[in-house]
Amino acid sequence: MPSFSARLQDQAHELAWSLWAELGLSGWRRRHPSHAIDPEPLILFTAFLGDADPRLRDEATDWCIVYGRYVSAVRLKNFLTHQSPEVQQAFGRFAATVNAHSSLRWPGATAPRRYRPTGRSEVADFRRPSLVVLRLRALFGVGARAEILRAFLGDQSATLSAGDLAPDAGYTKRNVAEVLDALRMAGLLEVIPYRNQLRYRLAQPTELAALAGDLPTAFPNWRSIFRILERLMGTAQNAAGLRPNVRNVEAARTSHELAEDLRLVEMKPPPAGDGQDAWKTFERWALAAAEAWASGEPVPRGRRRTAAV
Amino acid sequence: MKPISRVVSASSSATSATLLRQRKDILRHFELGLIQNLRPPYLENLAFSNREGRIPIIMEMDRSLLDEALETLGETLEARGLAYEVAAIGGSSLMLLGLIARPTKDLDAVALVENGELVPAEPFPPPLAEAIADVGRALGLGEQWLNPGPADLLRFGLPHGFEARLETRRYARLTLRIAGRTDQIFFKLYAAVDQGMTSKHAADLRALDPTDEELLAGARWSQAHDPSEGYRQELVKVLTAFGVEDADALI
Repeated sequence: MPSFSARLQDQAHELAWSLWAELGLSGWRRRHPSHAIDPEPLILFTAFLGDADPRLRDEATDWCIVYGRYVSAVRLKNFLTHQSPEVQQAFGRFAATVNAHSSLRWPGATAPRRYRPTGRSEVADFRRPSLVVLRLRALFGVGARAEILRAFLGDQSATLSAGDLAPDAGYTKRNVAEVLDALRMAGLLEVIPYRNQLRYRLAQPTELAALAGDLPTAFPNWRSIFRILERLMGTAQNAAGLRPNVRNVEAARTSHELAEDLRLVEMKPPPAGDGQDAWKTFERWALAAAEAWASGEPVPRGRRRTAAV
Repeated sequence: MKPISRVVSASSSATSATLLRQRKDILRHFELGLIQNLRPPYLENLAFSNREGRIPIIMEMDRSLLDEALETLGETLEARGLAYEVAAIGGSSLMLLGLIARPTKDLDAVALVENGELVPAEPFPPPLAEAIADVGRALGLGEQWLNPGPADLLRFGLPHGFEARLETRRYARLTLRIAGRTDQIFFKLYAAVDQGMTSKHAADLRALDPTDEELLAGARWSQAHDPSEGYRQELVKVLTAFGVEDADALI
């Protein structure tokens, strides 16, 4: 049987391929037709997967060269600062390669790899439900406005502040606050003062949804999901040569460090196994989550649709 | 059924079987309403650790669990390319020396040893603190099961000859330097005066079976830490309780 590390890596590649296939790469299977794809976290994750799947790396690079104008360099920069040094390093090469073959100026670029564009990336339009993020950018421009509207479309009854929205929007809180006020001025949002905060909600959800077109059923928090997968893959890889008791410690450490991201995707940490079962329990939990994410099935114990994948 | 406080202390002889028994006890207590505010999602993952979303039940350590924790810490440090030397005092270290048998909650580090010199342990270097917390989470011991609580003792002065009396235990890349019996008597006397004759420290001091000379030497050392008259009066009471005749005149 393949190792834990190899099985996790397989699931991570399955997931990345399926999401890129939604974006127009010639993948075998699309398993996420009803899931909103978030391009910048996917690009960072693909860079992290790196040379393990050269075809995915090259086709994704090709897509970025062709459709990079719909990708936010600001979001890439802001998300990159929260990534591990491994991801930052991998993205540096990926960004440099994209920049070398386009007029884009993606942040964090280092030295490009040898690459010849394949020209195979093609997406006729952004009308698929899964491409709602790109559709909003095509409608409202690449910026905080599209990200804010995505968040409100993901949960149309939500009441959100600039502070709530800024982390996932990938723009500064000030920028988000200014756009929220502009959308209020336009009549799209209404404001509800709450203590010392201004909270906003959709004033005309039906009209906005109609304008946005077919919506996906799930708006997963891909940033957290990818961070969880990256951490799990790192732990799995490092655990190969460890003694059983130390592997249990690394499982506990990983669960602890993932607590915030697990909370954001509404997943519980792995159940604690007793003694030597702890690592096996961790493995089972990690693989179940990775398989669920890759398959597009609901993740075990996910509750809200923003958490289900 | 045992009350819940005893369920926790029953972990003093903790093994996997004991843990399972304790877990069942806690669940039964919850079902009987003896534990409140235990929400159903937590019950699914009821575990003896303080990972997020879990009930923070911290086990006490018996000798075997403490040895397991130290071994695991040493091997974890080794896997991370780290190595530390820690000087320990207190109840857990007495247990490691086989001088007492009561379960303990934590192991007290009085100092780190760097290049053969005792240096302040507080705060622990972050990589060591992280490794301790990680091991604690994995074994359900809490994140502070090894802590620099009594580090002030180093600042105010350890007993003369303390370093020469340290006993060494090695756990992979963790070297534990355990205070010798004489020094432990000094520390336990100091703590017993502070916390009274019914405290665990007084019980530990009894278990160490100190001679009058050892108690008097400890008394003189402790007065250097607390020269107040109030402390002296309490010290005389404790010495007298331990059978030192005419303690008031001897210190």
